[in-house]
Amino acid sequence: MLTEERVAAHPEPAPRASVDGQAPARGRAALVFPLLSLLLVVVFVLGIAVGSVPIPVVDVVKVLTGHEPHGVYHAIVFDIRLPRSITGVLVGAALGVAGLQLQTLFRNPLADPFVLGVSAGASLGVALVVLAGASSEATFLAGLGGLGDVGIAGAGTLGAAAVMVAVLFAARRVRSTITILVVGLMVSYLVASLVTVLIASADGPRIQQFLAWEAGSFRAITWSQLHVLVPVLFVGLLAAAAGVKQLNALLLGERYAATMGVDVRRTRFVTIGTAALLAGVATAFCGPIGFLGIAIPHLARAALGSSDHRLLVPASMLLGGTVALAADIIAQLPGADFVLPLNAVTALLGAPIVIWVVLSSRNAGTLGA
Amino acid sequence: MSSSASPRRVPRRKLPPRVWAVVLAVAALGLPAVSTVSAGAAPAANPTGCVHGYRAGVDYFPAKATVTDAQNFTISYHRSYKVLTVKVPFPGGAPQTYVLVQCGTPAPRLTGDLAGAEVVTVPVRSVFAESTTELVPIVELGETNALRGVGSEQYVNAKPVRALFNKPGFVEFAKSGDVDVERVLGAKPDVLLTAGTDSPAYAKLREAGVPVVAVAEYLEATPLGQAEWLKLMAALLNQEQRSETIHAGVAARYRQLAALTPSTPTGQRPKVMTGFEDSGTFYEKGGQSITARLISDAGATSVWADNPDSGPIMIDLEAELGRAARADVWIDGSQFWNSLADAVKDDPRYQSFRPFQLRQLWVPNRVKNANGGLDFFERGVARPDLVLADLIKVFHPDRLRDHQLVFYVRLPRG
Repeated sequence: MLTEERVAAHPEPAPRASVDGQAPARGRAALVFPLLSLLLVVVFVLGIAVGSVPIPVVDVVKVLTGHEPHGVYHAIVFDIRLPRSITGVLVGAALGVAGLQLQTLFRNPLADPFVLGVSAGASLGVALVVLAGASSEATFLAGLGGLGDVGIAGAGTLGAAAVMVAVLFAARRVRSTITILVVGLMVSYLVASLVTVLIASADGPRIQQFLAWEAGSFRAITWSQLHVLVPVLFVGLLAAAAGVKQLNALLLGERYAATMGVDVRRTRFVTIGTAALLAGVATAFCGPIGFLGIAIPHLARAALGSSDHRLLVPASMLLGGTVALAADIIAQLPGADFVLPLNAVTALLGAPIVIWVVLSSRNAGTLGA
Repeated sequence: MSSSASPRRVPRRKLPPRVWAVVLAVAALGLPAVSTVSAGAAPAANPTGCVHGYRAGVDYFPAKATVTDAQNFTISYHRSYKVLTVKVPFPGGAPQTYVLVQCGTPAPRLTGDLAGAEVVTVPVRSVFAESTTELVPIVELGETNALRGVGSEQYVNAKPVRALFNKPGFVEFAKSGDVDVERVLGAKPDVLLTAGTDSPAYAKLREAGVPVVAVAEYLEATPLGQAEWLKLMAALLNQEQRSETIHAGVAARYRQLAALTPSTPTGQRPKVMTGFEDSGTFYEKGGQSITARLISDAGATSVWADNPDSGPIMIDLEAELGRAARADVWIDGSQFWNSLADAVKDDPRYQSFRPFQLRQLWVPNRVKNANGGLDFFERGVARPDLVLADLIKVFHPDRLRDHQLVFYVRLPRG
């Protein structure tokens, strides 16, 4: 692949410098990590304390300490805000890390979980259940009503997994990473067009239900869904954390990585698998939440001034969780009883920030490499 | 569920003699079945077909519809033609005027206010109805045979209409949701009634000579206003005489029922929530919606009564809990629920609402067809008196003891 040869041959001083010369990045990290952790804690507390119903802090504490086991406040804090906050933090972390993995793997600053078609696969799974589940009430109940929201999430995960298997199959067969990127993009288009066909042939209430899922939300998640979501994402995040050395090696190009003793194909396989798991499950449960996957890695690099994945992976998790939950809190306009679509908020507020960060960064030209 | 028995049972208490007369007159009609109107209504009926030997100055429409409850359309009579205006044919749409010309009389000059109006020759002999809400009025007007096509057969409940589906030439013209222009032109009906939305297909049909009349009853502010759209269909079918009698009966029963509960003090009115949650958003009904009006007329209060919206509203689940956690009754949950367990499967957080704990969750899915289409969305629009009777019984179980619920079901545990 000519393109890849060129990319690989392209001198990349920035990552080399920071991976090897750890000293300046370490110093900055000592400052950045406590700050990011503090931010995450603040946002998490806000996620529990703030909502459309004003609840005195005292009562929030009472609920959390089990002093008010029943009543409206308990239902709001324990059943709505707490699951929402946990989901936001985990899903944000998952999407941020998945984005980082794919940007490094594809050596492309524009890569995110969407390019592999994983999110589109989840959409197709959900669309099949919600839209095509279809004409008679009997099938509707069997497909969706009988399983509830867990049914939707299950279908989404299956759809994401199907696409993931297809892409992984390609990853084993082809030598070039760029080829996998193209395959992923094509699968993405293919699957998206199937969803469009399903929408065109569905009727009102089901289209509405699908669009509600597609708008993205952490608020739909219930405790029973968290029992599935938390362990799966936790495993995915651990797997991502375990792969930082290989990612660092990939920064130098696949050939260099190979000379350093890294099994490139295996790394590629594991990285795509992990990213697809994280993004696929997050999308299945919360809808295709755009922007985080592409933006968080850029923000993390800018914050740390480093391309070392030993720093970037935890930073992406912290930042991803913080930004995702913050966006969901902002989505609730002050005093309003309704919520903006999460997807709109993440991009609306986040895109200008990322543009600013990227433009003001000194090594803007090499970001994401 | 015997539907014909209900209208007689509903108003059994405290009816003044005049109302009794109307009720008996309508009951005597046996609603859809009998084809002649007697019961001391207007003196003469409008022509049932074309007239011959036109004479200027003759009033060809002795029976006239008077629109009182509906706000979104008007009808005026001009001897050989009627002028029908739909003020808001679809959300955000400009008013549309139709000139309904008696067959066999010359069309008037379309100048001034009528410039650009659409001409429909009446009585129409073939009707395409896009919305299921148009079916019951056409059946009740005794014009089932004029119905030659429906938008989608899937959700239709009315048995006389379903019986038409197998007839050769009957057309399902918007199966996918979009009007299939070619299918409509192939049958060339005298008129197509819209579902109160806009479609690029309508302009094409008008261009090809198929009149398209907007039916936007759902934009009315009151249940009786919705039901009165029967008179728009009657104007097209020259069935004004019947429509006046039918609507008078529905309106009388509705007002009689609404008068049963206004004395209920605000504090004793049950607090009512509606709707269901999807992806963290709760779909409620606005404080000025038809549903809110029905709740209020049935002697209860919507938890969103102070909300200014007339349509459905999307509420954060938390805000809904804040408002409705202490409500008394919950109506219009998801139509797909047949038990409380079904609701919990969708979202266990429903259990936090008091009506759920009290097992006061009611869904209007008592009558539905094989595809899950609810009669509530069809007959419930034409018969708000039946819906109101149901709701009074739901909110005040000690009232209307003889009334058999027509639409609503109290969800069992499962």
